[in-house]
Amino acid sequence: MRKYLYLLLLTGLSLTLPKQAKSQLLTSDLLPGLKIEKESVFDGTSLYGYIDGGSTLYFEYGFERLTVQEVVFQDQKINIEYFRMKSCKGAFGIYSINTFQCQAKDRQGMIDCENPYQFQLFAGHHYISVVNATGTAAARSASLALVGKLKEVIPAEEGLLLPEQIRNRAEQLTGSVKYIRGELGLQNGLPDFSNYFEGIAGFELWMRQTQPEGKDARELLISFDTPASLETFVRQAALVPAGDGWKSKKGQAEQWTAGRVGELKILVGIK
Amino acid sequence: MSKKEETQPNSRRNFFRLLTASSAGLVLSPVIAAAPADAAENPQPAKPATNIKDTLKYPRNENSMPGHFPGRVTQVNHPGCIRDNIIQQSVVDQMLTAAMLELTGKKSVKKAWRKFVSPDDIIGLKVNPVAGKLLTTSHELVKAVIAQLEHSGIPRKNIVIWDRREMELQETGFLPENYPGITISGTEQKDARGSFFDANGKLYGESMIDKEWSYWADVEGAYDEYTMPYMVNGGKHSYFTKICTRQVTKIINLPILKNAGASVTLCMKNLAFGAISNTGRLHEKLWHDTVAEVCAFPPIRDKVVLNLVDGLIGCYNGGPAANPQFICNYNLLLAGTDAVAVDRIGLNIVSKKRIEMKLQKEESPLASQFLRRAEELGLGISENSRITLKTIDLA
Repeated sequence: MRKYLYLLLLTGLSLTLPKQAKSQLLTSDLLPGLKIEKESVFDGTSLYGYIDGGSTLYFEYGFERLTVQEVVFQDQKINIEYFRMKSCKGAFGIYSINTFQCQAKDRQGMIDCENPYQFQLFAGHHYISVVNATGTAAARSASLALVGKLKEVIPAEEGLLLPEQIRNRAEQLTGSVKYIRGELGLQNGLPDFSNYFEGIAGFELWMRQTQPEGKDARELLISFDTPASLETFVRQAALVPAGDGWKSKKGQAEQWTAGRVGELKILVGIK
Repeated sequence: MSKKEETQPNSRRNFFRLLTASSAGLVLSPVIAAAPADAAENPQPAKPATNIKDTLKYPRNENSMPGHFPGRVTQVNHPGCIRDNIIQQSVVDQMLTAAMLELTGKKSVKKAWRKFVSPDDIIGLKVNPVAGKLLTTSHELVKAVIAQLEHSGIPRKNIVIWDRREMELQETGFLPENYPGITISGTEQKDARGSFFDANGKLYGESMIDKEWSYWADVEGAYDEYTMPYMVNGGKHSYFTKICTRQVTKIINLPILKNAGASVTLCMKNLAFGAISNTGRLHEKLWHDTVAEVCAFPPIRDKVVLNLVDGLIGCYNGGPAANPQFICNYNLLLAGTDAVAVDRIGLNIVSKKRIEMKLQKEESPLASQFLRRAEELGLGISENSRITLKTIDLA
């Protein structure tokens, strides 16, 4: 039996990503030529006023405050959204499910990505999105300059604590690691798994994509609030015990049991 | 554990027992011992109650959803409807004409429209400006509809462009100067000073809601001072806008082809969340129920005569907001009186795009929950196998 079920301690050990420099929002003092046309702050439920139903996803991840700057820089109109979340993990979670088709950069100790229309950045308790509407080279260049300055000014806070199992294998975070902790997070970050979580309220899920272009090279680490939730998941996902190679292991604090849904490797446990 | 089970360590039953005995049981064994049977049989948290049963008692009329053509959807494609990122008005006119004639089986545009509306009607065009200029119901489609209504004998003064937030209508160009002679109205309003409150300190939105019509749900809406003007009221009631209950006699629904997570925000979502107050409380636990159930209330059910999904430009991810990188040209219109069937076809299109873009491998079973609920309520047909889709390819 132990051949198949071997318990593992994962989260006792974790990795702390580099802390960020001290900071504030972008201002024209910090970046000559920057014109801030409008600045709005949304906190609490006021996010409904800005993005209506879309706000529920942010609440799920622990929303604290959003500052929106509509700026003009190098003749380009650009929107900067600074989402401050209650936790570093919540900020990374939002970032991680918003980075589809966003080319990973993860340079200079930062976690960021870009495409012609949008630059995204995760740092401390912040998820930051810099959007232009045209996708032109000029807009990209202006956005890049803003992001460069943002990296200098965003708040210094604690780093992201990653489960060791995730960090050990992930060479870069953007595009390869997702953090999900609610129904909307699932719908946006792991939609083909949503139905397995029906009726389950309390859980945390880390997903690691082991190969960028793999057939289904994902590994999941899921912790549930209650044994009943775990049981519900096992039944709904038709989770079967892991076979060769993918094994549970024994540890001291949290214990994880290995299983599979199709080709997918999953470790499940209870918080 | 039986001998047989011991010799089959890979069986699911065995695995399930081991989970509770090891990873869970080591930490929480008393709970495990006491709880698993009930938990396994009743894993679902109780869903908040609503007043949907109360509204089903109202008799239906000839216009009640799913309208004149249950389970029938027309899709018109035109690869040239957008050139150099500009929607071509003449092509949209052509697409709309084709959709109306095919859907109704009529020989003329006038007869097609008069199947649904008459010059005595006050006709509400329910647009969707919530994602801003990048992804609003296109002005080209709205103008094409207005032109064909006028051609069919409907005076401009009898047309109302409406949505929940008047500010968003204005921001996206639904302004009097662009639509002379047409009423433009929203439930949530600001005055010229930018205030949500009148001289008496009362929200303008309060005078726009009809307290005789309420979607009650056992979920409390509690909002801060900033948010309240966008919700109009808190508590457990969501009141219908007077635009629906009193101002208009018919509604033509003009949503955009957009995703909402792995699901879609199309005809029914545009109507349901656009027609009531205090919506913030409904997103988390009752999204699917609200989308279907609000449409079962007479001010919606008995007035929506036609759905035209603007799929010229849409999105497949990031919706209902507008993320530029996920906006795409679907180059199509969908038309139907059956909002449920139209939404089903729209979900097919968006899901196909999401699978093609490797966002998901297959349609999520949860994505169509609202469709099944709507069919239970008699609002339309939710299964592909029972929907007749007629596709017209224009070039």
